[in-house]
Amino acid sequence: MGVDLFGIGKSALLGFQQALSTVGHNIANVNTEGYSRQQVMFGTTRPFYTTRGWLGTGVQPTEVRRIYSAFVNAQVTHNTSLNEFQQSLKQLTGSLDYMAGQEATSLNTPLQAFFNAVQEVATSPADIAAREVMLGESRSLVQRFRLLNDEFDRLQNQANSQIQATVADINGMAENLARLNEQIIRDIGTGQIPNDLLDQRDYLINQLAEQVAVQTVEQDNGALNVFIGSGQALVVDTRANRLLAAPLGADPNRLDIAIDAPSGPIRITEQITGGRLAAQLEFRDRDLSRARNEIGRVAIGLAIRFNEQHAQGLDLNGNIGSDYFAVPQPLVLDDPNNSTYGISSIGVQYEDISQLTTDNYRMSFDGVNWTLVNLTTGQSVPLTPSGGDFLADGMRITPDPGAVAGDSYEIRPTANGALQIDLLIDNPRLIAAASTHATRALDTNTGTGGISDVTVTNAADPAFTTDLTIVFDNPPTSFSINGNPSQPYTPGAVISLNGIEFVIDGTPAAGDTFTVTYNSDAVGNGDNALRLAGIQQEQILAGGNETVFSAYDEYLARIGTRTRQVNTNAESQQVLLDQAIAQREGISGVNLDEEAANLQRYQQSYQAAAQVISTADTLFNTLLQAVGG
Amino acid sequence: MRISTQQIFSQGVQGMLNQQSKLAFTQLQLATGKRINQPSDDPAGAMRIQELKEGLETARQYLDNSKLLVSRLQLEDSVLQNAVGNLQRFRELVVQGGNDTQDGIGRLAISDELAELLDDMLALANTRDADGEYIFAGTRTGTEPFARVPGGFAYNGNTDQREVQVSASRTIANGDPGSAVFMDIPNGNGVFVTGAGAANAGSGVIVPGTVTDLSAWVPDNYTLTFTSPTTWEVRDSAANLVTAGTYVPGQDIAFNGITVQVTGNPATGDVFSIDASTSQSLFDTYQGFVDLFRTPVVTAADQGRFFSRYNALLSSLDQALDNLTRTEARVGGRANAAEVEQFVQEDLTVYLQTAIAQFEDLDYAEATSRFQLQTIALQAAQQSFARIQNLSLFNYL
Repeated sequence: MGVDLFGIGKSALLGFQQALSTVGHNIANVNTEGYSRQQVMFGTTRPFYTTRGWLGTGVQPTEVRRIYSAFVNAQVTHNTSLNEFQQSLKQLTGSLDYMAGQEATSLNTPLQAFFNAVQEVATSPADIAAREVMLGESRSLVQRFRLLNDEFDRLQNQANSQIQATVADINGMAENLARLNEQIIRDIGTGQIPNDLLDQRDYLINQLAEQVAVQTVEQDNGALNVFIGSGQALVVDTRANRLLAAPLGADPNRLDIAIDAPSGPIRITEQITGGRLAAQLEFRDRDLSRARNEIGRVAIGLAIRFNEQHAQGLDLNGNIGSDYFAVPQPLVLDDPNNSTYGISSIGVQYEDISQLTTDNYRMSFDGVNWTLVNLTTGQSVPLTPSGGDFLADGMRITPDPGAVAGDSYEIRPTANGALQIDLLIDNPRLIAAASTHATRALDTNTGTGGISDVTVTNAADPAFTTDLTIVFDNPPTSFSINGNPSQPYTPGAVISLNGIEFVIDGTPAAGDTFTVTYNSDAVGNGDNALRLAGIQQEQILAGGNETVFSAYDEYLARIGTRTRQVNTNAESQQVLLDQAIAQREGISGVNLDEEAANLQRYQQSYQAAAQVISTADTLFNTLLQAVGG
Repeated sequence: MRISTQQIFSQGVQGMLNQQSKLAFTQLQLATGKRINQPSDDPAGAMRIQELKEGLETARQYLDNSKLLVSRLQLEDSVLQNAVGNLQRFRELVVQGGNDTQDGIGRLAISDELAELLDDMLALANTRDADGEYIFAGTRTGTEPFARVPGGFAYNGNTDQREVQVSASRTIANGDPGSAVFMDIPNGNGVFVTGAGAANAGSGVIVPGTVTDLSAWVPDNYTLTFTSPTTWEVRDSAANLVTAGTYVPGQDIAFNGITVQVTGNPATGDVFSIDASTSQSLFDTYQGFVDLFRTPVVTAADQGRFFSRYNALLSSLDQALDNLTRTEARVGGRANAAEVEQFVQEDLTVYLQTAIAQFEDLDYAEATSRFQLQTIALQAAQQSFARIQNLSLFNYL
C-alpha cells in the first residue's frame, strides 16, 4: 500500500484526541494528592519505502508517561519522616513547656509559701495559728507535687494511646500497600505501567513516612518492599507484617513496639526512627521520664532533709520531731523474665541525696558479678561494696539473693518522688519548732570561747535531757562537765555525750562556763524552725550545687531550652521538606496555565489533522470527478 | 523554575498561616503584658525570673519578720520603761523612808506602798504579748516566769533567746530572758555587799563601800570585827587576818582594793560583813525594803542595823536600775538594727520588683509597632494571594 493521506490524518486525529484527554486527566487531577502529571509521547509510524526515499506515514502515541523523579520523591519521603518527627516532638514538648509556664502547675509558688510559713513558725513558734498555716502550706505543696505527677501520668497515657493509634495507622497502611503491590504486579504483567497506581503507592509511602521512617526497595516484578527500624520488613511483595504496641519490658505502663512474628513478638522499640512514632517514644522515654525524675528528686531531697532536721527539734508536747513528710521510695522494676520474678528482688534505698541523679538505671547479674548501667548516658556506673550492699550514685542497693545469671532490674531512683511525697503530721502541736537544747556562754566569761548549737544523735539516751555545765579549768587547756573529771580541750572538736553533740571553739579563759540546757517547755523557742526554714538556702541536690528551688529553676530552664531547640529544629526541617516538595511539584505537579496552553495546542493540532483529512477528501473527489467526468 | 498550581495555592496559604501565628504570639504578649509566657520563649530569662521571684518572696518574708520583731521589741521597751518608772518611784519612797526624821508609823505606811510597787513590778515582769506569750520567760513562753515562793521569788522561764531571721545572714534576738532582766543582778555595789551583824549592840552603820582597784580585789566573804570600840580587824572566810586598824568614825577602812566606812559607835564584838556580790533578784531587793521598813527601830543598835541594811539594799536597787536601763538600751539598739534591716529589705524588694519587670514585662512600644508591622504583613499576604488566584490563562480562552 502507498502513502495514505487519510491514514496520516486519522493517526494524527486519534493521537491528538489521546493527548487532549490526557490534558483533561491532568486538569481533573489538579487537586489529587500525590498525582504526577502525565504526558502523551508521540512517535512517527513506520515510514513507507520508495525508491525515492522513505515516506512518512503519520503519528502514533508511544506511551502515556508519568513525569516524576524517583530521587526527588525519595527526598520528599525522607524529609517527611524527619519533619513529622520534629513537628510531633514540638507539639509534645510544647505540652511540658506550657505546663511549666502556668502558675497553676508551678512548684515555685507553693514551695515559697511553704518556706515562708516555716519562717512564720520560727518567728512565732508558740502561735498555733502560724503552725496551722505551715501545715496548710505543706498540704498545698504535697498536692502540687501530686498534681505535677498526675500531669506526667496524663501525658504518659496520652503518649501511650497515641503510640497505639499510630501503630494501628501503620498496620492499615501496610495492608493497603500490600494490596497495591498485588494490583501493580498484575497490571505490569500486561506490559504497560499503571501510572495512577504508582502515584497512589508513592503517596501512601509518604503517609507511612509521616508515621515512621521507612526504607523501600523496588522489586523487578513492580512490587515495593517496605522496611522499618533497622531493616525489619513491614511489607514484602503482597504480604504485610503486623506491628504490635504492648508492654514487653519490666514496666507495665510502657508500651513497646514489636513485629508480630510467628515465633513471638520481636521488640524493635529502640530501633524506631523518624515520624510521629519515634517522636512519641522519645517524648515518653526521654523528656517525660526526665521531667518526672527531676521533680521527683526535688520532692525526695526536700522530704529527706526536712525530716532529718525535724528530728533535731522538739514539738509542743516536748517530744522529738517525728517524720514530717513521707519519704518516697525508689522505683524498682523486675524484668518479667527474671528467675526471681514475683519472688524476690533487689532492694534500693537512698544513701546520699546530694549524689542522686535524675537518670534511670539497669542493674544486671551475670552469675558472678553485678553491674549497673545508667540508661540515660549508657555508661556503666561503678558499684562500691558496703557491707553486702553496693553504693552507687547516692543509692544503697541490696542484691537479690536469689538472682541467677541474666536477671536484670530497672531502677528509677526518683520517679516516685512527686507521687509518694506526703504529709505525715496533721496536728500543729507536732511541728518540732524548738531546738532540743539551748547552748549559752555565760556573760561573765572573759575568754573568746563560743559554743555551737546541739546536734541530736540519739534522743533515746537516758541522760538526753540532762543539763550540762561546762567549766574550764585553770589553765584553760581542759574542762569539766557537771563536775566530772576534766578532759583535754581541743578547739573545734566535737564533744559527744548523752546522745547529743556540740562544739566549743575559740580560746576560753580559766573559769569560763558554758551551759547546755534541755529545752523543756520552751514553747517560744523557734531555733529548729529557723533551721528548717534555712533548708531553702541549703544546696542539698546535684552534688551539693542545687537548692530545691534552683533545682526546680533548672528544670524550667531545661524544659524551655529543649522546647526552643525542638522548635528551631522543626522550623528548619519544615524548610527542608518544603524545598523537597517544591522540587517534586516542579517536576510532577500540574500547572493549569500549562495545561490550558496544551489544550490550545492539541486542539489546534486536532483541527489541522482534520484539515488534512478534508484535503485528502478534496483530492479524492477531484480524482473521482476527473475519472467519472 | 516550573511551579505547579497546587504549589502556588499552598505557598500562599502557608504564608498567611505563618503571619497569623506570629500575630497571635504578639497578641498573647500584648494581652498578658508579659514578654515571657512560656519558658521556651526565653529559657534563661524564665529561670532568672524564677530566681528573682524567689528572692523577692524571701525578702518580703524577712520584711514581715522585721516588722513583727520591731513591734515585739517596742512592747518590751515600753514594759521596761514602766519598770524603770516603777523603780524610780520605789527609790523615791525608799529615800523618803530612809530619812532620820521618819518614825516607825511613817515607814510602815511607806512599806505598804512599796509592797504595792513590788506587786506592780511582778505583774510587769509577767507581761504577756498579744499572742498570750510571756515576754520575759526566755523561750518558755507558755509558763508564767516569775512567782513568789516561800523565802523569795522563783524564775520559771529559761535563759534562752528567740532569734528572728531579718535577712539571709542575720538574726536578731527577739526578747530578753527575765533571768537577765530581773533576777541575775549583782547585789551591793556590784562587787561586794556590806551588812551588819544581827547581834550588833552598838550603833555602828556600814556604808556600801567603793572599789578603788578591781584587780587587787580577791572575791571572798570578809568579816570586819570590832575588837574594841576603837579597834577593828578584817578576816577572810578562812579566818586569816587581812588587815586591822584603829577606829575613827567615817574614816576609810581599805583592803584588797576596796574601801568601806563605818560611822556611829560600834560596840566590842560587833561584826560587819563584806561579802563578794552574788545575784539577787530585783524582787528580793524590793522585798528586802518592804521587810526592812516593817522592822521596828527602837534602840541605837536597831538604828545601826537598819541603816547598814538600808545602805546595802539601796546600792542593790541602784544595780537593778542600772541593769534595767542597760537592757532598755540594748532593746532599743536591736529595734534600730531591725528597722535598718527593714529598710534594707524594702530597698531590696523594690530593686527585685524592678529587675523582674525588666525581664518579664513587655515593652509595649516595641510590641505595638511589631503588631502593626505583622498586621500589614498579613494583609499583604492576603492581598497577593487573592491577586495571584485570579490569574489564569483560562480567563483568556
